[in-house]
Amino acid sequence: MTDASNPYYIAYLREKKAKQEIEQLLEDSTRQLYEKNQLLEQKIHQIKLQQQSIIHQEKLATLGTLAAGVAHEINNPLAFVMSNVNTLTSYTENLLSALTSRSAKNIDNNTLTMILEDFPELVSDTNQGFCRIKDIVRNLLFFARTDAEVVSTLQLKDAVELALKLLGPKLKNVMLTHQLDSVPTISFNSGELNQVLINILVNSIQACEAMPEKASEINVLLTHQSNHIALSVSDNGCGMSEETLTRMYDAFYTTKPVGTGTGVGMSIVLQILKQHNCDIHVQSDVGKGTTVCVTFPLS
Amino acid sequence: MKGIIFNVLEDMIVEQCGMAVWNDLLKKHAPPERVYISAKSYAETELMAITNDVALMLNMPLQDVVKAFGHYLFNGLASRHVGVIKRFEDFTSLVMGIHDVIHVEVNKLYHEPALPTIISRIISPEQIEVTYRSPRKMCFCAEGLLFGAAQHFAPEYRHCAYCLHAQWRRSLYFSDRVTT
Repeated sequence: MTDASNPYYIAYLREKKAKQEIEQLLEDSTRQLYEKNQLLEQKIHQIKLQQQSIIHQEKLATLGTLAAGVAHEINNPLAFVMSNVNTLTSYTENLLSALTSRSAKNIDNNTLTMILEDFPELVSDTNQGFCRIKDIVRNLLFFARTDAEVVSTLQLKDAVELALKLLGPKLKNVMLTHQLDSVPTISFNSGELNQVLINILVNSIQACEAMPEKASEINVLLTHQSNHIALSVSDNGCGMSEETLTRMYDAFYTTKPVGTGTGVGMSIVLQILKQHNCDIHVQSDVGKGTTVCVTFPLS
Repeated sequence: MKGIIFNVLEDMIVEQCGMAVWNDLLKKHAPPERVYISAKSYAETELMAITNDVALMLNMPLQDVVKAFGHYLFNGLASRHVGVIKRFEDFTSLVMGIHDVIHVEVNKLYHEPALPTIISRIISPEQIEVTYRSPRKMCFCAEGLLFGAAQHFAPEYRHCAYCLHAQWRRSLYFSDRVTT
C-alpha cells in the first residue's frame, strides 16, 4: 500500500493541514500584534516629544515669572554702573584736557586729589556691578538649560542656593530661613533639577502672596538621612484643600486665575522626580501652609 | 532554526520518500517526541543531520540536497505566506526586497529569527548580484531559494554564476537570459 492510499497518510495530511491553519491564525495574530506594537511605540515616541515640549513651555513660563525679578536684579547694578561710568567719563575728560594742554594747572589740586582717590573705587565698583550682572545672566542661562536626558552628578546644596538666588527678588517680602547641610552628590539632569526646585519654591511664594494679611515665611531644609537626601520646603501660605491636594499632579489643573498659571508645573515636577527615582510628599492645611518634602536616592 | 523550515523539510521528505523515512530520520536525529512548531526555534544541527542522511540515502552530494531543499523551501514558504509574495510583481523586485520587505515580515512573525544578511545589487538590467552572509553557512540553501523564486516568477530564468567565497559569503548572479 502506497502512502497515497494509506488511510493513516490521508489522516496525517488532514492533521497537517489543520496544524498549518492554526499556525496561520497564530501568525496573523502575531503580525497584527507586532504592527500594533510598532504603532504604540511610535505613539509613545510622539508623547515623549510632546512631554518634552510641554516641559520646555513650562520652563519658558517659569522664566517669564522670573523675568521681572531678574530685570530688577540687573537694573540695580546697572544703575550704579551707569552712574560710575558717567563720573569716570567726566574725570577722564578733565584728565585728558589737562594732558593735551601739557599743563596740570587746568585742574586744581583738590579736584586732582579727589579724582585720584575716587577713580580706583569707581572702577572697582563698576567691575563688581558687571560681575553681578554676569552672575545673574549666568544663573538664568543655567536654569534655561535644555540638555534633555543628560544625567550628571550634582551638588543639591548648590542647586538649592542657585534657585534661591534666582528667586531673590521674589523672596524680598518673605522671611526666608534655610538650613542647607552638605549632602552627598545626586544623579540628576541639571536643567530638570532647577525646574523642580524653582517650581516648588515659586508655588510656596505664590501661596504666601495669597495671604497678604500674614507675614510670609518660607523654610528650606536640606538634610542627609540614613539612606536618602531630604529636601523640605515649608510655607505659611494659603495651603490646599483636600481636593486640590489630590488633583495637584493632574496636568492642566490649576487654582490660579486664568492666564497666570499653566497648570502643568506640579505634574512635570512629579514626572521629573519619578524619572530620577525620587519621591515627593505634600502635606497641607488650608490657611496654615504647606510642606513639600522631596527625597532623593543616594547616587 | 525556526520550526517552519523543518515543517517544509518534512513535507519534502514525506512527499519524496514517504512517511516511514521521515519517521526514521526523526527517530535517528531528533530528541524523542519531537514536534516542530513553526514559530519555535530548534537546533540547526538536527536539520543538517537529516539532510546529510538524505544525501547519503540518495547518494547525492550534500550541497545538492541542501540546494534542492532551498528550491522546495521557497514554494513551501510562498504557499504559507501568499500575501507577502503577492507584494512582488517579478523576480527582480523580490530579490531586491529580501532585506527590506521579506526580512521585515519575518521579524514580525518570529522572535529572534537569526536572519542572514542579504545584499542585492542590480548590476545591469539583466543581472542581479546577491551576496549572502550568515554564520550558519547555508549559502546553498539560499541559492536554492533563489532558484525557487526565479522559477515561481519566470521559468525561463537561469542562473549564470558561481560562488565567490565558500561558506560564509556567496555571491550569485542571475540573468533573465537563458545561458546554458
